[in-house]
Amino acid sequence: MNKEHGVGPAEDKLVEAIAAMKAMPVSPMPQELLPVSESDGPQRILAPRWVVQFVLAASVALVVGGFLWMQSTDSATAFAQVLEEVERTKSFRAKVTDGPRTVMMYQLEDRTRFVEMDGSSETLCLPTDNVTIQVDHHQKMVKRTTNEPDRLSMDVRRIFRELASAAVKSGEEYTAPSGKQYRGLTGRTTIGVNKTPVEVDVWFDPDVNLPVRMQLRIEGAENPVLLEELQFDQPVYSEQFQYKVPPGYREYQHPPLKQPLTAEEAERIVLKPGQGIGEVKFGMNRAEVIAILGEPESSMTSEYILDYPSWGLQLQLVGHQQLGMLGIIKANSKSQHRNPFPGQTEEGIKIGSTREEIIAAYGQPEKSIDSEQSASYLSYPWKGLTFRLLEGKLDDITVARTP
Amino acid sequence: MRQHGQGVWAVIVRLLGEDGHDAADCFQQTFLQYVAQAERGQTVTNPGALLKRIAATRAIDLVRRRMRERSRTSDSNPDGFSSARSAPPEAAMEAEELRAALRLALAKIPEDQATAFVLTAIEDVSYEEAAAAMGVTQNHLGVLLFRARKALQAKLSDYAPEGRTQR
Repeated sequence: MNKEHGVGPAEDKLVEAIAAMKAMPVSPMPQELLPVSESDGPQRILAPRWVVQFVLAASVALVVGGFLWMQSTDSATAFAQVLEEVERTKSFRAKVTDGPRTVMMYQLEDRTRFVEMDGSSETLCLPTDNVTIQVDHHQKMVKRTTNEPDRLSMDVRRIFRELASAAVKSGEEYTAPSGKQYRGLTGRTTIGVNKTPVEVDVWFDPDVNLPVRMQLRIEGAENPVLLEELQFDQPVYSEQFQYKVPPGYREYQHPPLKQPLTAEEAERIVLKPGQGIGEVKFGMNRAEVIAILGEPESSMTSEYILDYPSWGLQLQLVGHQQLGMLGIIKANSKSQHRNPFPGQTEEGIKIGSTREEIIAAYGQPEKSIDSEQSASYLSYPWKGLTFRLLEGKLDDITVARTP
Repeated sequence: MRQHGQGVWAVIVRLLGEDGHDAADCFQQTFLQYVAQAERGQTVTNPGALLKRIAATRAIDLVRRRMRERSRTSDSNPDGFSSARSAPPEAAMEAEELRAALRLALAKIPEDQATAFVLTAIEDVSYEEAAAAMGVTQNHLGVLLFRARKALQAKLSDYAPEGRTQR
């Protein structure tokens, strides 16, 4: 075997070693190792001469077999090769498309930077410092927040490592605009602290065994997330991940919280799975929501987020077929800059409810997750409900629009 | 034992490089461990593959222990294997030294990688059966095999044609 067959010297040696091991003469198992009841007399002893002749005749086949084993291109080995190469890299960048929104993503080890394609804003995720930094170039404002544990994580290396524990099989090939074809692999894993199921399609360059394109179909999301133009170990400088308020920018100050709602007011804001909250309904646009709830308190947010920290509420206008329509409602417990949500769900579940009370109201969850951050999650995907518990008490409620 | 004994014996003899007392002990320990697992109610769909997995793990562990023992006693045999057998014929010497180098290399890589490699590359157990015997997914098995191959290639690259490793 030589390099013409794509096998180098190191592989030659291993192939030879495998063949030599397989060809090794092995004596018959000693009779005394058999239990007495199983013994039925002397075993037929293979003549050493016969064994040697057999080995010589089979040596070529064994070497060929070893070579073929080494050159296996089944999906499990192909994916392992891709994983190996991805784990060698320290950085990568990609164009990420999520519905109508496209950002450039840069990763250097565990740090991530997202830059809107139109340059309007960027976000820096620094897990080591447990902080997320948002920079709004239109408002010339910088906002620094502590990472929320359920923030979506798109660590490509971790996605690959977790795919390694799942079944991966061949997928459709991808033909780039240049005409070059890339082999596809497909598998399932989970993403984020909530461990949301996701189907992953990966297309990789067989010359370097690195991905060139990925598609993530996240459970519950309307559109897949597409990562294109993946480039590994291209220049990504650490200065791009340092937190610094640019000259002329101001740092966002959290507004003082208003008085919490009265009990009577709280009775009117009932979370209704599949419908909305109070008079606000899923599918309403920004203007319609503001007409009911008033202007959001926080000015440093995306146009798709309506934040009411005094009420412990955040409404997200997500939805790609109907852009900017209410799709997610989050109710939180008390934190440094947020009051606790004073309302409850139609079934009487509120911040502070216990796991048993939640299960009594909604039945056994379709998914139950214990997070590494000591939070646990009860999920009812078909109802669009997710409950996060800390130390056995409800800490956060997420109500999502269901299909 | 009658059905799978010879296959298990072959795994052990190949990995230890001998068929003496250590091989017999390893053989018996393999079946004892198998019986213990069966008594715990563990479902076994392929006894042959599981037995081979246990045998490979035990044999490789024994090789490691021998290496540690020899490094403590400064054994003069750098290959680290019993010289109980008489010197092989000249024609087979290179093959035996190559096998010895592979055994040493297997003892130096992680146990799960070594076991996966032995089962599929040497013992011709299918990916499906090997994965089931090791309690991993086939994809995870593929990752183990890939890493094992890379590591073994690196270690065997030090193997010199004269039959002595460089380190």
